[in-house]
Amino acid sequence: MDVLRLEHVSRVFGAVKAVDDLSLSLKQGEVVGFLGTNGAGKTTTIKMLLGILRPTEGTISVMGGDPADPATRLRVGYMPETAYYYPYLNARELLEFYGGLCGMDRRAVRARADVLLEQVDLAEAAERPLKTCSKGMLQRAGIAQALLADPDLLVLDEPFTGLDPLARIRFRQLLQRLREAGKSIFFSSHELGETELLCDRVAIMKKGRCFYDGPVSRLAGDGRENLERIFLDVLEKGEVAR
Amino acid sequence: MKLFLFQCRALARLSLLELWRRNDLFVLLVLALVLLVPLASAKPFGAAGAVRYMDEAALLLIWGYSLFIALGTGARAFPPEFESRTIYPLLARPVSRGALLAGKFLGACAASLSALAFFYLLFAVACGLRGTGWFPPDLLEAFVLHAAFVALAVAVSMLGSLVMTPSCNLTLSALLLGGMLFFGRRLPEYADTAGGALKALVLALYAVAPHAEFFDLRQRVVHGWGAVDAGVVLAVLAYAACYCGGLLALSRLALGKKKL
Amino acid sequence: MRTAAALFLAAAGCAFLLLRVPPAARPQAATGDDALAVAFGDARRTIGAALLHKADSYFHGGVDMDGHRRCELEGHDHGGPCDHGPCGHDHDHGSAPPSGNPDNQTIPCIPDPWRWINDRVRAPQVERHLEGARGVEMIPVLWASVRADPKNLDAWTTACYIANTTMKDRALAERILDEGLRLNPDEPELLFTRGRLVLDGGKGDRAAARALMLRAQEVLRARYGGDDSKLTPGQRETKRHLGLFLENLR
Repeated sequence: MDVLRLEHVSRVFGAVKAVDDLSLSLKQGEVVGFLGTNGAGKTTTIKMLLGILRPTEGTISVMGGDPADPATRLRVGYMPETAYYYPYLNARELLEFYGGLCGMDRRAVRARADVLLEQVDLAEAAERPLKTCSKGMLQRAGIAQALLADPDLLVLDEPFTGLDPLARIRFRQLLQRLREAGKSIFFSSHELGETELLCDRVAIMKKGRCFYDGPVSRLAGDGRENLERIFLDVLEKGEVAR
Repeated sequence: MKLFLFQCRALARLSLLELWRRNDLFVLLVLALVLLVPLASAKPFGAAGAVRYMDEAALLLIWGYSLFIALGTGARAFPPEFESRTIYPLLARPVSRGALLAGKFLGACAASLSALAFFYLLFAVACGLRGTGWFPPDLLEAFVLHAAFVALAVAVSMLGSLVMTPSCNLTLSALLLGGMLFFGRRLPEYADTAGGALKALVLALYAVAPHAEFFDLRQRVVHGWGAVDAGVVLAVLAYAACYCGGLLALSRLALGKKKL
Repeated sequence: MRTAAALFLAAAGCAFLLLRVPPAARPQAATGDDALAVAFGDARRTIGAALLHKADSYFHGGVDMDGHRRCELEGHDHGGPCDHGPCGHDHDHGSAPPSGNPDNQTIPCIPDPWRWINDRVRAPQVERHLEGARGVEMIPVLWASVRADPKNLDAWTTACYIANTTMKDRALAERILDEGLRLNPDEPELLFTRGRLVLDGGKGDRAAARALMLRAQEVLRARYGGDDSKLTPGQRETKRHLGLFLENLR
């Protein structure tokens, strides 16, 4: 079953076509990397997946439902690109807040928060106000809040930004465990190395259009190419060189 | 419904935590003590025993502070979310925009009302210690109507926060509500001396502007006029509810049109 | 753009309303050469007058007597006290003309769609004068009035009256007047009032009272040379009373 399906989706802002005739899908248990330069339409696509924006054309289906329907979003966990959270809260209170928005009762949120804070290595700093936390700590708090309601689909916008190498490895291992547990992951990234290690498929965007959507293994199957080379080919020539 | 209540509670708690951790409230309290303590200890012409001027000064300060807190809390409901982009993880949750608006409004009201209750509690304790009575009915009534006014002020500034910049919003909201509070009752008299288009404009303003003076029972409390009839209180509360409903409906439209 | 337009409209509205203040309501130029008087001039007089008005409302239990008196002057008949502007209460002017109206004309009300709420929220149940020791409630407000405008003679004399007649506290009344005379030396009205206080309804020191009243009379003559047209209404009244009192104190 497709947990995510975009069919001929376009989004126009005035005279600018931010997303142009995009078709993508994501199966259950799959990890898809969404690559592209700044302004390629990645964030706009993610906002449409979350129901924050409506597509000008085309249809989007998330978990079989309309992303604008709040009930659909209950099964989706989102981590934003910019890790700004409420400065007067601490990490634990942040999770309690988002848990409340998902309809979780306090006891369930607290139990889940304890587990997640341990997983993202924030347990010791859980009571610190977020305004005193480093960028990396805020990023990890963002990961924790995305996983709070145990979603079936994770949508991550630049999840590796701000993480030190050790945190990056741990986060990649976490995502691999989640995939093994049957979660589907859709993430945008500028980190080609992590994407190559983690993803089953990649979609490469340029100026709102998708120029490649396929398995990573097909691209680098003979070992002579790596994702970085392929990525540059798409951006420069608009196609994958064979 | 249960989900809506959970969401409202979460949003309300957010506003409460922010208000009490920003320390604005304690700054206002210290300022109030700095103003009122010398006033209370003063003996004009060596005469002691006057209390009404103290009550009037204290209630005026409570009104000023509550307006400041309500407008500030309402004005901060949405702009920081857009500026820091926390609106995206918020809307990514199973929260509709209507529920978000309702939750933010209730949260801002809860925060502002908690501050208001705190001030009124201090006032009531001071009255009780002075021997003029603990929590008299007219003071309770004044608190109830003042609370309704605070909700109205939150709704006004919340709508303003969605359609204009924060500084413009605070200035215009304060002018509108403060102006109606102190001068609203004089508008018909002023209209009577004016003529033509100005008269029509002033009367139109008088008809549609939020009537803060309906909620102001300071004179009744200070001079012991007694409680207002329950029917009148209900009418004023109904007015507040209708006005808030209208403002929230407009806010919902404005939020829907907001570019994200 | 919207912000600039909104601010401009708000500022223009305020300026436009301010331009139309009726002449009778505009504050007069303040006298006095101290720095505050020079700097704030009209504002001190206005604040002092406003505080005196507030003290008057305190005396009447919080009722705004300006509105009440205006109502009476216009011939509105009402059975009890009120706290409103002209015709701010529920009269059926369409049927019976109010008493005291010489032309027997019905008086149109100022339209007020919110009158029902206004009258009930604002109107007191009964107008009560502050009596006895409760008169002390006015003293701080009157004190503030004379601090704002030390030349507010009405405030000094009112404070003295409240202290002496309402509160029956002669010592307080003397302190008030002495303070008033310290800030307004040789002010005829205050000298006269001080003289009346010393006289104490005929039971006090008649010689001292006469001396104070003669001093007041001399000051009036020296300042205005007997030309009554130069006197304010309050000074004219004081001169008239001085004549009567001095006649009795011969």
